[in-house]
Amino acid sequence: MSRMLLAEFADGRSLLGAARELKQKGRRIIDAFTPVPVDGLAELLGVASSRIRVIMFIGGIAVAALLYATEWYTAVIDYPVNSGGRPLNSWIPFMLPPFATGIFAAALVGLITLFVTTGVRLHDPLFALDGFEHVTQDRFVLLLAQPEGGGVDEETRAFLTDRGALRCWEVGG
Amino acid sequence: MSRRWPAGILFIGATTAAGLGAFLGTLDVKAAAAGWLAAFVFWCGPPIGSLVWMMIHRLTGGRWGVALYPVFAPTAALVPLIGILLIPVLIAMPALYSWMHGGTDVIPSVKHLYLNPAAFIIRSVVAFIGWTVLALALPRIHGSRATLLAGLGLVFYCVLISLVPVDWILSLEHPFVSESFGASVAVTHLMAALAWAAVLAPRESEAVTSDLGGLLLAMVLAITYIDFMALLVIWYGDLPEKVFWFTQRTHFPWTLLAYLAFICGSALPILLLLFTRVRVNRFALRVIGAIVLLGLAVYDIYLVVPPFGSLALLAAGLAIVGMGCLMFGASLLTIPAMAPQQRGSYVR
Repeated sequence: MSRMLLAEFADGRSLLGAARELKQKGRRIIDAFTPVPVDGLAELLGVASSRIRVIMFIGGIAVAALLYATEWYTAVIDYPVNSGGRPLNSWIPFMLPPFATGIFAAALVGLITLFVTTGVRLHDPLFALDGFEHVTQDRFVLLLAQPEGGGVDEETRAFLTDRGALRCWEVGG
Repeated sequence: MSRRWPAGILFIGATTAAGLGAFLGTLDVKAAAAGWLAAFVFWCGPPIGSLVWMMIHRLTGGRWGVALYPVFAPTAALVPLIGILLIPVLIAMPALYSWMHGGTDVIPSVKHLYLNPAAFIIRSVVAFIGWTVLALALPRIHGSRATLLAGLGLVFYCVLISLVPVDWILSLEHPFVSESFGASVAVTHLMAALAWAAVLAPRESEAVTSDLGGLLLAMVLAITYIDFMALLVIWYGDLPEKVFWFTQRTHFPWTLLAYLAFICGSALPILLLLFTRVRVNRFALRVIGAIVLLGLAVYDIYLVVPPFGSLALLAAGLAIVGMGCLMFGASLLTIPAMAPQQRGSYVR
């Protein structure tokens, strides 16, 4: 693992401000970990907008349509029953199972797409860092690439502290 | 002020529509009264809905409420005006409500204690006095007393909105009842207020526009859910005293109204608002707001007018346009032109 610097912030705005300035200085930002979406961060990191919502929508609609088709086939073709004079293709109650199942299918397709597109990582060296679990709660962490071969980068640390970083770690090397 | 001229033209429009409506009244009193009632029910939405959103915001806080306050507060101040528009409905009650003449089989104790003209008028008047007091008091008090008033006001709204729409709308076709009707009308109020704000609100930041779009989407989903569930339960129960309400609406032009209300009030806004790009686009939201208002107007006509025939459809159109001229004119005069430096003064 190459050398990296982590800086921990208390809010998204100071992380975004520091990241912008560092990028202008020519530093490479590897990633950022935040408990909530930070507006403008994805653009700064150069992450392309995800197609996951389109895939989820198509998956949900497809499963809902398939389930409705099953209901229709069962009630109209396979086993028609006259239930109190109601039409065989009773679309009003037939809407409910496709709706609920469609929502579930969209969620499932989203989860599978997430795993397929990002790769399942059960462990990452970063997870072992003390206090890193706070990125899912109340801390915003920026991950910077460190130049090879240098010593302790006091200048960058001082800059980050000045911009509101609560603490910095250096890892790898 | 340069906006007096357009407002004046709108008031002339309202007068013209009222005159045409009065002429229609000489031809068919019932149809004219039903048209007026449909328009009254529709235009209750933006002012009362704005009042409810302001009360909700007092309890929850949030940027959206601060940003929309310049639209919500003047619109909520129109509640007394809507109360005045109720008076012709009360005068026309004998022409509208057949239960008044004893022609229908209302259970005697129900008629004696609840469904009689005096109780009808008392419920409507109490509702409008309460909402007027809330609309006038809420912008003028601050701190924990405002929070208390907002909380009590929401409880008052929830109780009264379960009663008065049943009087105004469902009792037209006694014995039809639908238990979710109060909730359905409350959601149309909230939806109408947001759509009205989307049309009239000034240019705001992208984040606030996104909040408005998100809230509007939630309300459109809510009305779709509530009304679909009501239809499902009634369809499945298949009881004559409920189903007749729908069978009365299964022919032209009411089927056309149903499709139009579904497309403009539900399907189209949901599909458009699913896209983040649309939710953050001020112009797109303005168009969607106008579409939703059209859908709600058609929906309210569909609820009120069918028993009164096609002439009532014309009367409803006239009355909605006329009252709309009145509302837009009043809003032009009261909703401030949005210069950015003015905004600070509306933050509570």
